[in-house]
Amino acid sequence: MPPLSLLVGALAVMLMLLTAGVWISFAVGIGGVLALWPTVGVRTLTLIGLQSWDTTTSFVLVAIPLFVFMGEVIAGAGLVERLYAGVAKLIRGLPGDLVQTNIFACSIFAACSGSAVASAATMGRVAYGEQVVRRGYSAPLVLGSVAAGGTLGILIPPSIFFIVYASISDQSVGRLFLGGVVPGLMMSLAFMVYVAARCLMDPTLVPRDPAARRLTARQRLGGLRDIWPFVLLIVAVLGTLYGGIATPTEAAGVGASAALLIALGYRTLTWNALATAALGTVRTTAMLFAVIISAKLMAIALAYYGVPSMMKQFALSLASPYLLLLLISVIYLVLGTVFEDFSLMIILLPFVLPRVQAAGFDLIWFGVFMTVLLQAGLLSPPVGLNLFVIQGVTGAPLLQVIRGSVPFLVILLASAVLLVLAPPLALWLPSLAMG
Amino acid sequence: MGRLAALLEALSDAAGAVAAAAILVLTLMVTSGVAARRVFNAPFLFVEEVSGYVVLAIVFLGLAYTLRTGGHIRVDVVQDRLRGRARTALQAACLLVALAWSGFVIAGTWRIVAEYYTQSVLSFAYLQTPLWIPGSVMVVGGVLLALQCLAMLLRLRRQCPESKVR
Amino acid sequence: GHAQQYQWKLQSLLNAGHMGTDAEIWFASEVEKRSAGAMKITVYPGAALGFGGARIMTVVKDGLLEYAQMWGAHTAGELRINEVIELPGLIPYDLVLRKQIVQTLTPYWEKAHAERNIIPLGVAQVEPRNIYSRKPITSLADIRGMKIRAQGVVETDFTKAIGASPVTLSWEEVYPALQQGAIDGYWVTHSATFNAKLHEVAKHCYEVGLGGATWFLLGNRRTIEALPPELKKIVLDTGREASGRVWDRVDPDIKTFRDRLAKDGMTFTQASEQDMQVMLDAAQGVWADWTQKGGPVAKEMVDKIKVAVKK
Ligand code: NA
Ligand code: NA
Repeated sequence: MPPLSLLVGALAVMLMLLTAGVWISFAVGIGGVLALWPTVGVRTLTLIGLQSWDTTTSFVLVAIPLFVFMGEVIAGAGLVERLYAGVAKLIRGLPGDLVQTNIFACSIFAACSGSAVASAATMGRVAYGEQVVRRGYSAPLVLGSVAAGGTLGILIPPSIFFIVYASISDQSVGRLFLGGVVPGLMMSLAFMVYVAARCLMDPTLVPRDPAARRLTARQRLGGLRDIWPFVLLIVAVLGTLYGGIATPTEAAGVGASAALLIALGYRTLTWNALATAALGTVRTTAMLFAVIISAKLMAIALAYYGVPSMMKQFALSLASPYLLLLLISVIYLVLGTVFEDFSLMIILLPFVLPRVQAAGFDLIWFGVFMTVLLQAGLLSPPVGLNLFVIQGVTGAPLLQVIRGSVPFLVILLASAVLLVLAPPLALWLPSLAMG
Repeated sequence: MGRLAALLEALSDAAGAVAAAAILVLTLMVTSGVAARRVFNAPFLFVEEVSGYVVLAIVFLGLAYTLRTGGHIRVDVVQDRLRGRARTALQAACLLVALAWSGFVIAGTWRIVAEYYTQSVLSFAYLQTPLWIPGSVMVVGGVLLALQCLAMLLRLRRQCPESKVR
Repeated sequence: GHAQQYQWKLQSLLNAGHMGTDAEIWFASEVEKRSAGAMKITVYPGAALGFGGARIMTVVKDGLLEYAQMWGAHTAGELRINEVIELPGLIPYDLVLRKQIVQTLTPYWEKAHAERNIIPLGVAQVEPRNIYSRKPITSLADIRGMKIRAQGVVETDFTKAIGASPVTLSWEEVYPALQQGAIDGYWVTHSATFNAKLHEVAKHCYEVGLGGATWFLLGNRRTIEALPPELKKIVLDTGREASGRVWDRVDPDIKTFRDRLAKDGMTFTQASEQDMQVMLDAAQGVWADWTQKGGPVAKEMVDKIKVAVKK
């Protein structure tokens, strides 16, 4: 076993590179090389080549670009704006008014996209212009609601995170997807309740719009016209997945095709929109896989330094399995402030999973729990992907985005605690549907 | 110099366009695979294998384009606070690290592909594809990534803006 | 005892509890014991180091792992003779005969692996494979048109040859695919069915008992050759004994897992002699194709097997 100081040195260099602004996948890859080279020398190159090949040719991960493409087509064809308008008609006038629309529409879009980024970006652009600029809503509240609503994309199925987790943990993607449903809906409800409570306590946050209350029932139901294509899409994906037609990867293909057909039906699928959606998918796919490859390289490096057996010894020394859970969460959240959350999770999972299983936790449940933590990571400063995305599309100051997101972050962490106290929240639906 | 950079950027864009077309191919292939099995009861035996190769192509042909269009995520808090020369120097250093990583990717994937070729390794799946064929796309992708880093270094040196993304 | 001089890694693809992985865990602890602690091998079950089955020869060749579990069909794209004994119906299920054939063939494997800087320390053939299905199969006629998940080229060709419709699907997707009726059945063993809980969704087994995966315990040749003679002997001997432990588990595991499956409600149908003969006839074409692609060494090995079976 090589001396641990070499590993610590490599990790320190990696952190330095990350701070200096080196692209995350490259910095983690270089960190892996620095850690591996002293132990295996030039054979480090074999490891890079093997990880590149194995990761990109895995059939299970084929679902990632397809689920991303599905969301990009919806967004690129302008259907998110339609969804927003439809939801606004349907539920206007609640305390918090259009801010509620942000969360509700994000929840629906979450069921039509595999990632957290596409929905946050599109919804953020629409909501900021309409609510903050035009109507003078509180900027932090609006920014926080879309940043947090966007994170639902990885908890409400389909979810690319569940797909990666399933491939690392050998669990069923179908079960994990179902496991995310109840916590996802619960969380979106909690977000809405919070917004309502804030706005009732401080009416200046969202200026009253008398028009909102004058909507007739007929006008409200008209909103459904804009929403039903999304329902159709959700049914197409979940129906093929759970109705006996296709595997998760195939359901992703059906979903992407259905999104294309819906966009065609609305005549909003221009060549331009199609190219934008495909190129956007290329960017997300290349970025994600580059991160996964580097993270797996780093995971191998940790194994060569005996980190797994150290973790095992340590976990065995803990008195309670809940202590282990708490520790994992704390390590994750602390590292997650400086590390990119998705790559951090891929690095840690192979080492954490055997411990978690030995401690008696259900791996489907743990997958849902980790997803909630990952959501929290997307919102936690300074390195929170959704914070950057929202800042990028709205041009609002980062601090304002952070300030607005903190209350939602607290709700996410409270949900994680609730999930520990009541595991059936995640496990009831999968066992009901799949035995 | 500006012209060389523009040429390299055009390469990244072209590879990105091929990757984008591959997304459509992937969607069609996987969907028709479902239809073949469910509707026509005649499963395609190649879908699982080939879709893996298509994703490989999307990822590796997309790497350079993604770097060019800012799709690889990074933490730019420090860079944003710097101005002038210090900022340029830091950006150049980051690009050199990226260039180094592309070098490792090229060398690593080359090693695997060379073995696929010399040992005539075939896929373990039904088509028995000679693996060096899809494998070499990884090497191409690594080279494109390195060239894109080079283009960005050139732009940095001349302080001239990038050519427009098509 | 000796001070610890060697520290190595062994990756098993399957989890502890599987006969191959259990034999490897025993191998590691036994090597340490017999060398009085001079040689220590850490086992990583469940592919915990992240090396997939198909590329495992590259990993051992380069010494990134000193030891590893390998399965014949996974690596047949790289070295076809790794799967020769798996050809369906080529060797009947008779453990004594199977052991003897593996012994006869070992020099061929040793030679081919030596060229790749690898020593096959142990080789054995695990349980034969059956078809597990959602609907009962009472005869070969029922299989016609069924969508059966097959793994690798040989099994796919054979599935086609007996009139079913082969489907390629990764192992993780078999459970959901069965549950949703996307496939009708699959080829595997009793133990793998039980361990993946597939009997929750496939309640019937058509017992044909054909083939059987080839288990290899690989060692990096340079590492082993560089050892002092007495330590090298320990590694080689223990590897050979490890394969003995795998062989010894085959019969009991078939029985144990068959009982467990039956207890959980699985029904078993033994293929009739007539149907078995039809399948063996269909298999001839598959063997011929395979031998033709495999070249002279493969042909020599198949001929040796045929001679041994005839006796
Ligand atoms: Na989603
Ligand atoms: Na974070």
